[in-house]
Amino acid sequence: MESSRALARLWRLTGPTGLTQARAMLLGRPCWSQQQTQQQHNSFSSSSSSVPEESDEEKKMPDHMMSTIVNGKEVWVPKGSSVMQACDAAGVDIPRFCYHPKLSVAGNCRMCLVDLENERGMSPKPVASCAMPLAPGTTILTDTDRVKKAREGVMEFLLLNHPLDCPICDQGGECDLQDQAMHYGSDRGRFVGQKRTVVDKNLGPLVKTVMTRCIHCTRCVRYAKEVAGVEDLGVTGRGGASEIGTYVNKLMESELSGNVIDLCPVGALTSKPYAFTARQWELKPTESVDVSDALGCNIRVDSRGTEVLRILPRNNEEVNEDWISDKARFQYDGLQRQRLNVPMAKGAGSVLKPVKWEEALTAVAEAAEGVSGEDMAAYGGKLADCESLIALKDLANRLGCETVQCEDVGQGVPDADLRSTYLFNPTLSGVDAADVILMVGTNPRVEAPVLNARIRKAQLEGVPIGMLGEDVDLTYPTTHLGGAPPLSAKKNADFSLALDQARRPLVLVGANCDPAVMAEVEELFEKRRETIEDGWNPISVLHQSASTVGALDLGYGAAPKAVPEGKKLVFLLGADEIDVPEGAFVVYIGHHGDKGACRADVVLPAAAFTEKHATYVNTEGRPQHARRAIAPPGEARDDWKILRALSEVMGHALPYDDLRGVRSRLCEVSPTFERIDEAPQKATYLGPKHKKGKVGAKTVLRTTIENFYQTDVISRASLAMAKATQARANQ
Amino acid sequence: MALWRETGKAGLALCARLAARSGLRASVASSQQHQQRDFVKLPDLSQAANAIGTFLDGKVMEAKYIHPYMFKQAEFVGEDYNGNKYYEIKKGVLYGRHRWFVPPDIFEYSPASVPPEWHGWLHNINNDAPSRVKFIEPSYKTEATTYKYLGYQPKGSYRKKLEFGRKRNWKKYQAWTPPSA
Repeated sequence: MESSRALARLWRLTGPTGLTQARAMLLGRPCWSQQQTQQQHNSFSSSSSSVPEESDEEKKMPDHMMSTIVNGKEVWVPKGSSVMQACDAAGVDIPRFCYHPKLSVAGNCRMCLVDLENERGMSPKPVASCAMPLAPGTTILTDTDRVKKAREGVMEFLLLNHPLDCPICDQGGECDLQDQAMHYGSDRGRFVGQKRTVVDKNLGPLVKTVMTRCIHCTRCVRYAKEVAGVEDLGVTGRGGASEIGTYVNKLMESELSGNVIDLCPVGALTSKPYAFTARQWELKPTESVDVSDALGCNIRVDSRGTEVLRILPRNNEEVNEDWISDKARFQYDGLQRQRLNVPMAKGAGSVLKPVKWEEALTAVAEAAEGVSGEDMAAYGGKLADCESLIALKDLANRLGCETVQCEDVGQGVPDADLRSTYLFNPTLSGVDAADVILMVGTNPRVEAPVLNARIRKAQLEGVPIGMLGEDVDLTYPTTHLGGAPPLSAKKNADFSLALDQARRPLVLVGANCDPAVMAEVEELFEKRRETIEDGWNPISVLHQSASTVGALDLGYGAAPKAVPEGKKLVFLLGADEIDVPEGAFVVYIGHHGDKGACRADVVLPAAAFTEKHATYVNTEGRPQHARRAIAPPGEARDDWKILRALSEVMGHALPYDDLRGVRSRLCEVSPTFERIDEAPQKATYLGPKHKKGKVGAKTVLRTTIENFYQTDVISRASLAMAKATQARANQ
Repeated sequence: MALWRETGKAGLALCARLAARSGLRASVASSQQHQQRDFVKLPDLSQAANAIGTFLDGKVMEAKYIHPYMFKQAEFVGEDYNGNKYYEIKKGVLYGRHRWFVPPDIFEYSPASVPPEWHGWLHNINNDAPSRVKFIEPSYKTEATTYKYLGYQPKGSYRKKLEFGRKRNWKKYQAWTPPSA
């Protein structure tokens, strides 16, 4: 383990080449490397099942495991596994269309047929392995002639009504049916009738349907019902006349609707904005992190040349499982509109004119001359990455300015001295472990839809969910406990009983809650401290933007709605929602022309999150790296590089000039940044940290997000998001 | 084509070499002249190269000389609105080579310039040349757009550039313009 950590560190320091060299060095030493690779292999295989080593006969099978034989190879799987899971554990490929590990088992595609054998002999007919529980003493055979013939038969039936339009289908090249037809499909069809055709359904501006291609795996239906929590999709009709669709002509009203595109094994559900744009083999995938909300969902940015063509989720069980929100998936077209591509400075007539970089930087330096540090202010924006935030803070501090704040921090975190006061302490995967969930002044459906799906999963398992604040539809039933604290137990006896008995309660606090509300919440748990499990901290703050936790870690404070009067020089690092009074010289460093750029005296074009190597810390305090997929447009540069250049011109040069330098500076400021991709250790609940105050009796706590689809500069510039907004309004 | 038939491959190659050498000489001479006297107009070498290419290709020979003059019995059938002239030989040639057209400009022509009424006759679909039999337009006829490049041309097409006189815009993003004060 220690060496794998060392490798990870090497990766961070030297990048892929260094790692390759290191690996070559390791492999050069046979006495050590074998053991090493074995260890690595074990640490990477995260599944609970394992293949027993033949040499190790003394190893005893744990009680919760059972053993089976797949094609003559023994595997151990947890009891209650299905036959398909045993095959997966043995590394045997089973073709499938309807089975998905995150959804319930339907067993209706019949592609995963296998033969079973026990002491009474062979199974009378092949069995659908996804829906078959594994019984003790069963042997699984997947390579018999009967299985092959059965799968070929199933494939032939599936292809009867499937159109032969692969050349014009968006799924072509990444289609499960196409791939599996290579193995099990015939070279000719025996069907001479007329193929079935189905009318396309309108699922809104994001998901395109070509329903003739549908093979009725019902993954989308199960997803909508089980994960997204909208009962909009279903199957109508029977037999050959069955169709998937919305029962009446309506949109799929979910913030997670885009995931059906990934789920669909054929080209029936595809992305509307991506339609006919590219083939999968033309694209360059880049592993990155989403910035549309504070969860830091893991994404894959697919780009071709200088364009981002689509964004797909990357599996990370601890953060986003397999899903991302529609905003994360479809806002990428905003990266091509309203871009700042040249430095600009105000010339005669106070109109912004394109200038050279030197002129722009000198203009800032001239404006800063004679301005004392107290008259300056620096504000971080919603999408600011940690590298640029630290560069801005270092520059501001060197100029003597202490007003270094970040917008969208929320009043709930007035001081950031204790990290556990502003984090999602139980971690996102901790939602699965919670036994009671209480929401205070938040609407996770719009603030973090992927988290909402996780809470919904908990609710389906029977976890009681209480809501304090505006009574909104979260796609699952909640117990409404009033618009604002105090939380009276009398309002709902069942819920307060559950809260009293809870060992792992989770209180989801909206970031914009009043400190007084936070104090009330803390008091609630102060009374129940004995019942709470050791090491469990119920306070989980749900932030709204990607920069917030990083900014708090680096010592930023909460920005006011408007810059105070008297500031003469204001730096806006992508901060668009702060009003700047007249008389201040505004330097805007950002990638989109929005409110901030309109107000600016000097505009310095920077890179968006797909265009730079950046670090973002998500709401649970997990730092993750976004990687550069494409180059910034025109003369735009990385944000921290702009600030580094500016510091040189202003005569206060920052002590780092490469990415490694900035990142080591980050580690200096906060040790969080040493452990990339790791959530912090669970912090024990230390008791109340907020000052008590008066909560207005009539205030109703609610989220500040008005429109889920348009929350930051990228999504505001996006055409797809505008269309989605319009469609939702017209619904 | 005649050259090919008479002298074979070797002759054609020789001819090409000769043409290339003469072209080279011409270009050297013209550049010297250009240095001395500016008022002499430079011959367009690309056009000359084109002409040589077309000549060797056999298109000129075939269109200008072989078809109209070698077969004296060729009959002029008619002319269409694009200026294409249509000829026919009834006897003595291989079937399939007995109807042809000569475009007005042999350097820049397109088979798409043959209008529908002549197309049927030219490709032996019917024997009714519109100059002899009145062509009845079908009810579903629409304006021909393929010729003159008025029809659909894909993004970035060379033809599109020719037609509208502008290149494809390769910029993949839209820049922000500051509001005027």
